[in-house]
Amino acid sequence: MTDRSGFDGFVHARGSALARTAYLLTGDHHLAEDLVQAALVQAAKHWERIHTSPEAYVRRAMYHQNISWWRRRKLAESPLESYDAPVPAADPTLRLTLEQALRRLTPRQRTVLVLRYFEDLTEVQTAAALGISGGAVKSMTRQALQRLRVLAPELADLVGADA
Amino acid sequence: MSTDLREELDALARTQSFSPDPSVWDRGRRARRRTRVAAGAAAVAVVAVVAGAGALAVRPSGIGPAGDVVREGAIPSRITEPDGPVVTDLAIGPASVAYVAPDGSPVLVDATTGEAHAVELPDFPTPEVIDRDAELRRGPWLALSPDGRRVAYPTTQDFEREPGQVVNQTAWYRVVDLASGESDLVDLPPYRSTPLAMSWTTDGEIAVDVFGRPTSRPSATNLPPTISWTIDPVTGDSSSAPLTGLTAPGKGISAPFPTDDTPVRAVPFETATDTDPDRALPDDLYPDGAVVTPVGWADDSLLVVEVDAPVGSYVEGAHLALMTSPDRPESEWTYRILLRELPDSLGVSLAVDLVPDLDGTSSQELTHDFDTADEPPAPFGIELSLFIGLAVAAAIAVLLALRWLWRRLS
Repeated sequence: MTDRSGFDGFVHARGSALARTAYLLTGDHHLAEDLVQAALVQAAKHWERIHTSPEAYVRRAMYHQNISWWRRRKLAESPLESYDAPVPAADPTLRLTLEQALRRLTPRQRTVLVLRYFEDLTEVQTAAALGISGGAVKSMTRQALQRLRVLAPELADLVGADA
Repeated sequence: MSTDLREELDALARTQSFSPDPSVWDRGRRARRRTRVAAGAAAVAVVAVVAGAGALAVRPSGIGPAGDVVREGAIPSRITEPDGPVVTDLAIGPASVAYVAPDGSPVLVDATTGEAHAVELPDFPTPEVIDRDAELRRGPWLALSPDGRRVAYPTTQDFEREPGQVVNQTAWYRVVDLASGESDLVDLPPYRSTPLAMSWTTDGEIAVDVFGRPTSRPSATNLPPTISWTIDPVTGDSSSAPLTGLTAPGKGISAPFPTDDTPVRAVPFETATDTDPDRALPDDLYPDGAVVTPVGWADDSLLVVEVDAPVGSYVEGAHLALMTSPDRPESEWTYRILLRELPDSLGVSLAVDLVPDLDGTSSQELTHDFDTADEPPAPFGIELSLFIGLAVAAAIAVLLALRWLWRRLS
């Protein structure tokens, strides 16, 4: 019963924060909700073995689960035509917002951006969380920002000038 | 840049609401139980496979030729009658049993398949000759060597000594090599009469019982003494043997062939010291005794006998048994039924080397069921190393399947 109450307390305290991260990772409200629930189920399953930080465990589970889901979905999704082409600037109503631009990143790129610029993790911490090298984090971060600039040139001020 | 981006991301993230699902904890715990069950099943599967492979690896290799299907062959648990054409090419390989059918045709049972073949043996006596000698005959007409690779018999023929008087006469013995199919003639010993019984010694010589003096008209009241000879089938050299009948490998004791069909309660033996002990038959098995004919020595003190038991016996009719010779202490005596049924025949000869060594266990398999062996081989019939390899592969497959199931359910 202590485990159950501890778990419920953790969910009550950190659920909203986890959901916000999940939304940035997935770019979809429903998927974000599913992602959080799936990660929490994993945490409940192994609750006795989580001796350090439950939140770190759940976030890590979300990162990997999101990429795993993306791999399953990508074969079923229709390829986007002109995937990297920006919407013509002459039509400002169709300009990509940050939200839309994030959706067009790969899950890995999006995850790296979220960890680096939303979670404020260092490159080393990001690498540890994703189980990849620091160089890969740096490379993916650069690629993600570059792509945002291509997809939404009007976000240049937000993501910095092209190198 | 990063500050602005973080603020924008935070604003974006705040559009996501969160409503706790109260079933999350229960779902997680159910997944945990499923995982434990799957892990337990996997462990049981692995233990079962490993234990099975281990049991096979340490399984006794059998108690002798008859226990398993072996290259040397085995004594069949049921001696069949031939149903195919007469075999003329005698290179059939080792035989486990040789007998002459009631119609006078010789039959050899393949040691490795258990299949019975009616064979055409050169100079084998005709049915008329066999009938004429029936009253005096004490042993089978065919003598199968202990290893089943050779069969010997007398080339007895009949001739008309005087008008209206046809008698049997034996000029040679023949030995057929069942590996090559070739046969050789073997000289007779002195006292060139038709043998009363023929067998093989453990030294690879032919042993015959013959009348001790020539006689053309023996009768039940005028029987000459019986003497025994051994003949080297290669050189033809013969020498007299001190004991008649089947002499044990140690040459200290022999089992004589019975002179008539009278049931006995004790089997007579001869020894070099003339003590001539008896070996009593088990009363509970043969309350009225039985006719016992020696077939061969399975080892120094274990005799294979053909027993013809009257009605009311534990096993009625002709069957084969193993008995300890009386020169062993009574505490070591054993009596076991080897074959419960024998085909109608004029005596049976056995490749006694195929009788397994007795180790005292009552469940020991003395004969082999070739009918079962004809069925599709069981997994245990394949090479052990291959089986272990397949078992390990199966265990890995089970684990992978369980892992896949686990990931699907969790």
